[in-house]
Amino acid sequence: MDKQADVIGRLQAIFREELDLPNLQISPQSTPDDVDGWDSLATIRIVAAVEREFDREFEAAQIESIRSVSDLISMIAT
Amino acid sequence: MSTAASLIDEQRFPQLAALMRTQYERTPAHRSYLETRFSHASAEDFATLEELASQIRQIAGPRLGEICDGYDFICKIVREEEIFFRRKGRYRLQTFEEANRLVYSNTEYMGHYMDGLLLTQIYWSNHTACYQFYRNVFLKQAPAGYDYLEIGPGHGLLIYQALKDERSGSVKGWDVSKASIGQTWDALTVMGMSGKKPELVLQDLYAVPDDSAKFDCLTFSEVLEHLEDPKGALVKLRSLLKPTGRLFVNVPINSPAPDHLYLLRSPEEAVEAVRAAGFEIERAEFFPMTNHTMEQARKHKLTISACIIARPN
Repeated sequence: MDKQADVIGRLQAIFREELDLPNLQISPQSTPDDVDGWDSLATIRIVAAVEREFDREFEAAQIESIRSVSDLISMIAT
Repeated sequence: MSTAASLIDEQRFPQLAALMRTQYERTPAHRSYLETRFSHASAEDFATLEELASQIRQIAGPRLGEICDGYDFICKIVREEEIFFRRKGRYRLQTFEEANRLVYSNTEYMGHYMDGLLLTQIYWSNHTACYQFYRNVFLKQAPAGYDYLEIGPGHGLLIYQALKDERSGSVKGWDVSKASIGQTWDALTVMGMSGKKPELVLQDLYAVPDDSAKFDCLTFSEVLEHLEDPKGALVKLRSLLKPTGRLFVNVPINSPAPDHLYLLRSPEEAVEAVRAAGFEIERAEFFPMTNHTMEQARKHKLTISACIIARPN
């Protein structure tokens, strides 16, 4: 499994858990507009879970700028 | 951003529709969340929301756009506290001194914060549900000619209900902030006082003498979470009630905000805190955060508003 696929897999598990959507399929293009329940407070919960999963801590400005799964992947990669 | 027509029926709910037009124009990013919130509202909810929208538009006057910006402000500061809460498992501030220094003494910040809070009565379903519970259960069952006191009347929407209730007797409000009393007074002035004269005074709950006047109805809505000594406050509230008097407490669970100090982790913990202060619980109802079920709120430690009606035991 390549690195991006691994990251997406781990993100998908987080999204499913935090949004209570056990069958959710996400892609880098997924945005709050096409994922049920993904509002700004859900973003915070997702980020907190991502921080635990990837042992990272993000800046407030980074968190505020998240508009897609792709943004999260970029944050994890940097 | 969706540009589809709003779910709000403009013919039946013109006040709400006008408010939401302003909100969506000022902050289109909130549209999707708020339309989802309205998609869960019942006919009874819409009637309440229309009434609240009318009152809020009266209070706002020419400042409506600015108040809508205040909602965006409150969402932003709540998100900042939410990330801290998710990381640390606690609220950021621990003491009233910190809250006073960082939040209450900042007039501009508080202005935006209070503006935003006013609109949450409509936009956050748990806040609307608490308002309905207060009006339809707590006030409705008050005895004729009841003496009413609200501690921290703030935006004035709750004390206004007591003021316009033809069954109420005396209506009083206490606050530790002169600015807050001024805000409540201004709100009641524009909404109308129904020929009554409310008494709004500067009074610290902790400093009330034991032989103070007693009340039939005591409202303590979204105050407990701001206190360093919530237990002391509840004991004091008990001493302010007549033997048959009733207390209404509304306190949020898992609700990070810049000035929240007292973290309750479950609605049951809130009920137990009231009981432990010498009250018998008459009724308690819990309302989960907007666009979430109670099951989700409990599972993910989301905000739940706990409304409790209690009598001295």
